[in-house]
Amino acid sequence: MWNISARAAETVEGPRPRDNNSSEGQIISVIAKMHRIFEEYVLASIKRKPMKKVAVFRREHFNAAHRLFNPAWDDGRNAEVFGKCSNPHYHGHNYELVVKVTGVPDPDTGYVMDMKVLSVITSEEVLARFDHKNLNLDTEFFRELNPTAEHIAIVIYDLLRARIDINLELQVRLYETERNFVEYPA
Amino acid sequence: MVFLTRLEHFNAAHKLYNPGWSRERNEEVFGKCANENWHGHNYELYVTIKGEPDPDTGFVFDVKRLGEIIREHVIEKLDHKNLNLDVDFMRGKMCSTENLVIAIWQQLQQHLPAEIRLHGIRLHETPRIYVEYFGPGR
Repeated sequence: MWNISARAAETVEGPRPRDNNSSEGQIISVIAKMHRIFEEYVLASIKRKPMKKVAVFRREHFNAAHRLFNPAWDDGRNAEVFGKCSNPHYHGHNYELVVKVTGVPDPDTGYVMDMKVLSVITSEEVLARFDHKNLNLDTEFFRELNPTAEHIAIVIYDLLRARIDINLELQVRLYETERNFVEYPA
Repeated sequence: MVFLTRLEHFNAAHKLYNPGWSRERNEEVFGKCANENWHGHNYELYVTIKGEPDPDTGFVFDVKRLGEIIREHVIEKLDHKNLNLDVDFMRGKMCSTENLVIAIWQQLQQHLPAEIRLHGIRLHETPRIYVEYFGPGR
């Protein structure tokens, strides 16, 4: 749109004695004016309402083993409720994590949040704890708490929330498989 | 000749750990993949067979039947399992994706009907890491 507009404007503003009064020239002139009005409107609206919220997303992944197990139940009840997910020798997943941060772009940087900083925080808080780990055995969070995708998402949210500006909204989406995923907060 | 592929998937735990080596040596070679308490993956398995379409059915092979054979002899044994501990055909082997694809080939060769020609198996460990195997000597 910007290119067409610039080209149209050039065409109209340039020395075009032959076309000026032709219908083609008039159409180009009208289109160029419309584009200029549109661009002015967009610029004016950005200046008028600087409080526009934008969501930015960072995707990460980690591989981990787990089993679904409620220590308050016996093995039979665990097997009945969690089926093969309760295998005593564990199973595993490639987890995909999408972190969503929403806020007004900073007037100086234009950023909602520096994505490099978000990446470092996610690596430190999530990947360092969970990647190539056994969620039940190797992490403090899931010794008692059943490591369902729901609970993992809540834990990840809490870990990240503590490190991200409170003026920014945070949401995490966690894929356990391509087809099973959860979001928190809902 | 037509190549027919069936895609299945399974989730499993494993670790890369050579019991003949010290722990330090394992960690040096396999890094975080040697974590003693395991880690895990969503594996994607592509099984490709080849042949001419049957004149009566138009099929190289009934793909539903192919899916059943893969599920019965491969997926049932691997899905939600620990590859190092729970899988009879991986016992005594290093549970790398390379060794796993060879073992899956052997497993399928035994159970596919004699007229089916297995062409290749592609096994994804992650969306960015996969191996392919086209049979012994190829």
